[in-house]
Amino acid sequence: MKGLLLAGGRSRRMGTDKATLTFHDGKTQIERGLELLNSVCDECFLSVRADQGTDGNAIIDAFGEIGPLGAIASAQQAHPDIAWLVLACDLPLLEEQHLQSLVDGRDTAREATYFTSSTDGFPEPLCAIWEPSSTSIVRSAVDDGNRCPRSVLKNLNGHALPSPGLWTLANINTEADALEIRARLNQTTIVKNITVTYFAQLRELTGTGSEAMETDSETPAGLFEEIRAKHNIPLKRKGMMVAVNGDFTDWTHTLAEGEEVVFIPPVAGG
Amino acid sequence: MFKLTDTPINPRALCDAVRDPSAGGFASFEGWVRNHHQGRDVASLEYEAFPALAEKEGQRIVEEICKNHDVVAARCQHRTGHLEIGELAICIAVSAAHRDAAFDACRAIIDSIKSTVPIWKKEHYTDGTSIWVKCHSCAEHGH
Repeated sequence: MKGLLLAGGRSRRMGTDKATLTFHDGKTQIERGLELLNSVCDECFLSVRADQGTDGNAIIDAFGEIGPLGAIASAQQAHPDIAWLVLACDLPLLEEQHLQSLVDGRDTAREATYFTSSTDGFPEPLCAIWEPSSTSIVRSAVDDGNRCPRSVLKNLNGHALPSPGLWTLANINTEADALEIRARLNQTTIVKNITVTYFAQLRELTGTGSEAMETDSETPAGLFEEIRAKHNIPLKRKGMMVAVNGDFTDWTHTLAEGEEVVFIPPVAGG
Repeated sequence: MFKLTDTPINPRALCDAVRDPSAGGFASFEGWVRNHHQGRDVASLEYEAFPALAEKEGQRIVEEICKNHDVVAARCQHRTGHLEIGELAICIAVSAAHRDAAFDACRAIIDSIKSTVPIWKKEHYTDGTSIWVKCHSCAEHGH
């Protein structure tokens, strides 16, 4: 089994290159990701865009800039007879023990082995083993214009492992994600009591107008992930706003004891 | 200047509220409940607001737009609750010395309200189903 570290993204939402962020002892996300993969794989490759330079082993996107699924198809095209452990480079809370449990739980008779997301129960495609038997399905999805590795993985004959925990596979797409993850890495999280009030679709989805949450989340972004998992909410944070104590605020706001939070899905007045 | 109301809006009252001897132009916008949306037959709808913040944000928008345009007075009311086809969902009334400011401010107010005021709309369709409008767009990648 070879390891594929995905580093070809443009970090558009983040604004700065996620791959070069450092979370552990000054190591970049790429250095740390390769270290993790090397602990469980024979050989590791960095997945990059055609316009990125790299030393060492690399798999260059062969299907243009179409995201992780294209990267996986590119790796499978280069080495069709081996399994790939595919890993996103922006998972700072992932530890070697989690990768080891993925490898230990691997079922080579299936087309893939993956963790289940604790927020929505779907497969986690970017910390998963893609067996050689998945190659033709991945390739035809790419040829059909499918860009979503999750939907492809869901339709494979895959082996699902239980979620390794709400935060283990948390990735960084925004500044708020980075704050949340750093607080967990540095173990500076503080438990606080927050009141969350729901309106409209969120009131219906949660089945309540308001609830008290005991949370160790640093920001409303973290709290929303907890709530998504708790109530199985299909909405994502992208496009949403948040209010704390009756005023709009940023997702990077530091939550404090006793605050009142309202999550605001896209509005539709007028 | 901005109010939520769970009873029918009286557009005449809003017009009278912005009437002023210095105003030579008046523009208003009324949003009505329509019987169709994206090819589906709508039977009725419901507006739900986060009341405190909706009124605060609505007020901020109307004040800001009045400041940026040469407006004499402006009022806006938005309905909440269950509305039938043809009912008035929102009414904006703007008076100004001249027509350009009245038209421009009225347009700017409705556009701004639609983008940030925390009010949500649930459409009930004639086939018995219902959906929170725009909710699908934030869940588009949720599978």
